[in-house]
Amino acid sequence: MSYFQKMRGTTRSPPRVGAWEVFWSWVGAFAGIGLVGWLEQISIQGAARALLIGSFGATAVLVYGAVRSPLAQPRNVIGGHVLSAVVGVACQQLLHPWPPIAAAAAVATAIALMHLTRTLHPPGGATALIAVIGGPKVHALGFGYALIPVALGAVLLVAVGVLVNNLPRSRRYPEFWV
Amino acid sequence: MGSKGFTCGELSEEDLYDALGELSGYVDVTTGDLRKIYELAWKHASQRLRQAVRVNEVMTRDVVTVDRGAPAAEVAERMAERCVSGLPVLDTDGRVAGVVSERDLLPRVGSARPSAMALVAAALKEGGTLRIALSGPRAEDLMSAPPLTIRDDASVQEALALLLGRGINRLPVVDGEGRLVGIVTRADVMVEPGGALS
Repeated sequence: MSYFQKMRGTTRSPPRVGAWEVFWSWVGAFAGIGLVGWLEQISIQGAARALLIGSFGATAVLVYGAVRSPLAQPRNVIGGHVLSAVVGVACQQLLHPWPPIAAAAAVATAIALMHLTRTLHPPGGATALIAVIGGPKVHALGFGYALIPVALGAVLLVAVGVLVNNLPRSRRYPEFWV
Repeated sequence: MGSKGFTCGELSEEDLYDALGELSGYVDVTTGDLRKIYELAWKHASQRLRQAVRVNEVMTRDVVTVDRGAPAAEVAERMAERCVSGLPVLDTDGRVAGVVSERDLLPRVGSARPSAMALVAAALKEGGTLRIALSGPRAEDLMSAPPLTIRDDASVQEALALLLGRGINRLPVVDGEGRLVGIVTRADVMVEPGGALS
């Protein structure tokens, strides 16, 4: 197929999921994000340390909404987020005089490394981007960003996924651990 | 032979779409990719099966043959009575000396192209019978030699590769000493998953 022919699209989207699936997706996401948000509120350091970063909303879509997708599995969620956080912080520290380049390099490199390690997780791109554009509070964390909030939040979301996704008979999670 | 099941091309778009719908959650694959995966898996399974099956499991053992010295008329007659388009030529010790096919015979009886219908067309155009040399050639003059053969313990996959790679329709099957034990055609080696053999 030629360059332009490829743009036309050849197939279609999969079918819509049933209402039961929609219900449990909602419940799981509410529980997961709710837990992380609540922990952020009661954390010992008061309002200082953020736990609920934007990329966790994206992770919730996968872990609670597309539970059988390889992108939603624990290896991808935790591996993808942590790897992307490290890449993001590194790009910020190395390239901070040129913010657009730091941002672009962070996301692109995170994707490449997630591919190579088979931990592809779309919200990882967001985690890497936040490391650059998240502002002074995020920059001040340095590589600690990769542990809190990123690793901790990812683990909590996966834990809620394991507990809640397996409640209905029609669902199971995870498909694989490593 | 051939598979009793269906071919890949018979999986419709609706079949794939309905299959996706039967899984309870969101499946991160398009019907296009699902079809490609299915076809590739089928191809891999076919190859694996063909590597496991031996030629002697699918060959025809009752082979029509001629001797080296058989006249062209006898060759043609044998081919006609068994409805084959080619046959092996044997030495006195049972070894395969060559293979005669329609392609070898027809040019010798005045057909420029190796097609029986071309012969009929030529005869119809000239409004008469064919002129054929009375002192006809013999099997050993017509045959292709040395013949392409396959061992009876070779895999069906090797036979298929040879048939397709050399563009031939039949392969005489020989034992360790080169003696004829059977014959395989393309139809015989197209072993598929879900077919008569699996």
